[in-house]
Amino acid sequence: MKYSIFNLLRQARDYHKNWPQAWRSPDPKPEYDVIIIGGGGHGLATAYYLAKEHGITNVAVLEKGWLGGGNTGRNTTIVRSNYLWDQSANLYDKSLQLFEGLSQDLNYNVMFSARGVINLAHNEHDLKELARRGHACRLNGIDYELVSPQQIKEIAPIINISPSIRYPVLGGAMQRRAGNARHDAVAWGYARRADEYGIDIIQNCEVTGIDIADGKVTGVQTTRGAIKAKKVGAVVAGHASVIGQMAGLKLPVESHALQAMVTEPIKPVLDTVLMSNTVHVYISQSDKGELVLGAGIDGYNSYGQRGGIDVIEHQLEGLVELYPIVKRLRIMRTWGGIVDICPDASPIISKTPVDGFFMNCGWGTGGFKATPGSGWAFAHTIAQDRPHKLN
Amino acid sequence: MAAQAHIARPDPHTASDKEWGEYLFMRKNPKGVHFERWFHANGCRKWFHMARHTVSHEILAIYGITEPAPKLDGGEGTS
Ligand SMILES: Cc1cc2nc3c(=O)[nH]c(=O)nc-3n(C[C@H](O)[C@H](O)[C@H](O)COP(=O)(O)OP(=O)(O)OC[C@H]3O[C@@H](n4cnc5c(N)ncnc54)[C@H](O)[C@@H]3O)c2cc1C
Ligand SMILES: [Zn+2]
Repeated sequence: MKYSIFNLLRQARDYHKNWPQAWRSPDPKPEYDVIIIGGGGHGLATAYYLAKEHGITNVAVLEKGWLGGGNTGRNTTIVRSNYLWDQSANLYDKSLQLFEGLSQDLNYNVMFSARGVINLAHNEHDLKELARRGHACRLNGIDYELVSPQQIKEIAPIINISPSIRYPVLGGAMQRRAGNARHDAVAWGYARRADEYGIDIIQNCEVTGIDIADGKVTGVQTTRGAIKAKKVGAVVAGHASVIGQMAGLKLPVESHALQAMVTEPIKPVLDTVLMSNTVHVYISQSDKGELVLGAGIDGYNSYGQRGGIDVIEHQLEGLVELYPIVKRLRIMRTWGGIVDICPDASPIISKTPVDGFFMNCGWGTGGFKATPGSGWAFAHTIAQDRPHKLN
Repeated sequence: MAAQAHIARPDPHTASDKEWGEYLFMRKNPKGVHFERWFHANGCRKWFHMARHTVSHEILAIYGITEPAPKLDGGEGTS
């Protein structure tokens, strides 16, 4: 059913009793053309673009838990494309462009809000880095402008720009097209549209082995039995190494816990996103009024999906100095996700030495923004059996 | 702060690019027991080795950085 004002009124008339389910819960078929491992945003987007761009619809997405229960539903939802390197900038900007039209394309409100993202500079080096990154971005046609402490104060009055704090705000750079989106809606929107194309989305189905014969993938073993496939694509974030090992691959990836938290809801005080990479303080305000706060990664490998309290303490130290009004707010929830970190903090979307087996990983702490672009490029890589020039 | 322990540095004059790349970038990333080199950054600033489970975070052994990895019950888990 198309989501529209007319259907909303029609359903309201029937007391909202007749909304169809957004996607089916089918049992796995014995065989598919393509199996996607991982029902996060990236996996669901891959399935959708396989159908939409490449006409491949005999596809299953296998998810060990529930849709978006991994990092997709745990991130701080920042979407931006102000990256230094051409390769990153082009891929992330493709993703931002897809985000700009995503609600219409999916007929699902992903609540993308281009409220702007400001990166703060807290020392001389930060300032120079932002200036360099700004020039690089503009050469790639990506908007990114330098802003002074006074300009930042005007945009975000809750910030403390006193020069005498430990990490003073010396300046910043703003991408106005950037912002945030509702992360679970992104997963659900892709799931619903993929399902409309006849793609099977199978939850509670953990992949436990990759079947390979003569160097070619033939299917997967799962907790719901063996399933054959001509091609298999894995996009499992923090579990990339675990799946990689099943296929005999060694990856330059390490899994770390990354944490975020929200305060109790308050009236609107912040209508942009502020990022301080130097002190790992990321802040925005949700539509519900909670301040959404991101921290840095734990300094050791983990699959535990929870992080150390020292990281939160460190994050809060910077936070209260930069945004003094938060001092008396309560933290409502903290949580962690397991992110896949590459040495160069850049993702891998690739064929592998195993014929028909593809991997998409290494998005680390910043892959939510890339969900549409990653799925789009990964679908191309799987369908054409070669990378797109963006990946 | 911690990272994988027991990584032997190849001879930079004779190692191939592939070997050097493996040494620099490829890491074990087990879901299970991991042998790590730790640095006590906020305390006594000592370097030491730890065998630790990456899901439960249980510490299974602490040993010196010149000692070989201890044999543990269940060995190097992956589950
Ligand atoms: C706290 C936090 C804050 C973040 N903030 C931001 C941000 O502000 N902006 C940004 O761009 N990015 C951010 N990120 C990063 C971003 O969330 C991730 O890069 C992105 O969501 C990864 O998407 P994914 O679909 O690949 O992963 P996931 O959503 O984790 O999906 C992978 C799925 O694979 C499943 N899976 C794993 N193993 C198996 C198996 N064997 N069989 C079947 N299924 C399996 C998992 O259950 C999971 O659902 C943040 C991450 C965290 C944790
Ligand atoms: Zn110590």
